[in-house]
Amino acid sequence: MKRTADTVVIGAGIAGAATAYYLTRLGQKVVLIERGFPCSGSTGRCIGGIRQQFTHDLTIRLMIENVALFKSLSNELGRNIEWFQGGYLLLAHSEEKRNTYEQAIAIQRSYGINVNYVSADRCREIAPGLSSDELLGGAHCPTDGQANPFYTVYGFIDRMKELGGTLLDYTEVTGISLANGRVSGVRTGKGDEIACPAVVAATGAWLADTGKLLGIEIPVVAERHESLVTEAVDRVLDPMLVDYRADGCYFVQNYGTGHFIGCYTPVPNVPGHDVAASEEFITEMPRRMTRLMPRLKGVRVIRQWAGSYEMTPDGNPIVSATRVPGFYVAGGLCGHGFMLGPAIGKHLAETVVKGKSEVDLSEFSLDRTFGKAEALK
Amino acid sequence: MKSKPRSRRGRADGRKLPAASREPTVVCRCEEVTESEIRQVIRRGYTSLEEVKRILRCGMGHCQGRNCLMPIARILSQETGIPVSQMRFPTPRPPLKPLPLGLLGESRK
Repeated sequence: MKRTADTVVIGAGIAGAATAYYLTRLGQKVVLIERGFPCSGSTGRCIGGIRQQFTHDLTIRLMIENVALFKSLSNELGRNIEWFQGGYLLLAHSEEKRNTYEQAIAIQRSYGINVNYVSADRCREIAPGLSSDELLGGAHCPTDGQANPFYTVYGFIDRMKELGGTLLDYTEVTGISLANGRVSGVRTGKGDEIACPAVVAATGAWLADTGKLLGIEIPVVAERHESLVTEAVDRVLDPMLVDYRADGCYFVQNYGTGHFIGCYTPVPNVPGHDVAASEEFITEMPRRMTRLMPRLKGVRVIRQWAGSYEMTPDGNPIVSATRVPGFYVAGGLCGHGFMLGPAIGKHLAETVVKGKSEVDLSEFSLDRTFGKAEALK
Repeated sequence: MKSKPRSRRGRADGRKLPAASREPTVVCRCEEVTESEIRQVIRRGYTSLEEVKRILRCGMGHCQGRNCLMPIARILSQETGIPVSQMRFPTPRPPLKPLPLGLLGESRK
């Protein structure tokens, strides 16, 4: 079947869904193509945290904007995305971590974020039941929060469809056509040809593969992260707890449902797209969670799974035009895709339609030197 | 005249059964998702079990879909004509039955 579009967006995770939605808002005719189903890549495997506590200036600015966007998305999309401003509490179990947080807080406060280094006692007020073992204090930002990744992505897509956009799910992009060196269309595994002057690749952990369709090297690699979720219980915890120790973990209680959901970053990293569940994780994660919060010992685990972080050399996103006119990329979101996605989609849509965005994204360009690493990964 | 509640079948002893409930039919009991909610999502164009699950949370609760996924698959088959045998079911994941964090953590050597 032959179709035409102003822009084809590849990948229906948060970055692609948000970009497609904001493109339709700017009046474009958009086709969003997804190899599996929306949220089948990394977004649907994430735990839904949204924080402003970063060290890269552009990430901080985008996250301030994202908190404002998430606040208004339920209204804008006409469905409850379960946004809850429960805060983030980054725990310090060493002087070194405390110093890292205090330096980060100085940067964050210069942008007006309400974030403070608080005592161990205050941490235990914010997170009742938190273990005091080795705890020195924490970096607390009460305006961070959480939302439901499924409801947010499907909310963006449903509203995009209402505005005239099209979702092609279970459809793989097999080629991107050029005419006179510019993007001219997209071919799919189902035999569709879509003529379009612009393509946005938002294929997350598979962004390097999409780049290869045009011979463009994109430095994104997949790293396996595992997660688990418990049964729903009464609400006892507001913030996302982050324990950055080598054998730490992070978890939050879902506002909408009461489930606890969490994961940890394996040391050393586990490269690749393997998303099988491991026996190590389903015993080690509960050990770490209950060490941090012993009162959770009786809460039952109902599911474990894995997903891919999409890592770049410096831990920062790639949101960029490329050397092929009409080909744009948004990915390499390094485990922060869900929280970064809405503003990135909004500004990439502006870039595609107007040639420049309201926020200068050049620090996330594909051509950068990948030197300025994010300290709060 | 006041209409009587109707029952479709009588009991063997001749007593009438109560009228069929007009309450919505709950298909996913863990997450309280009804048959009509499921049909509405399918009619919006989401025709796979994976999509229905993510939009409505059916199958994401305590039983992990053991009770509801087959009835949902049958509803999906009625709506789309796709045989249940050709549907992709969500991946079963450990633990196959809910286990306490304390027990799992203590089993870690």
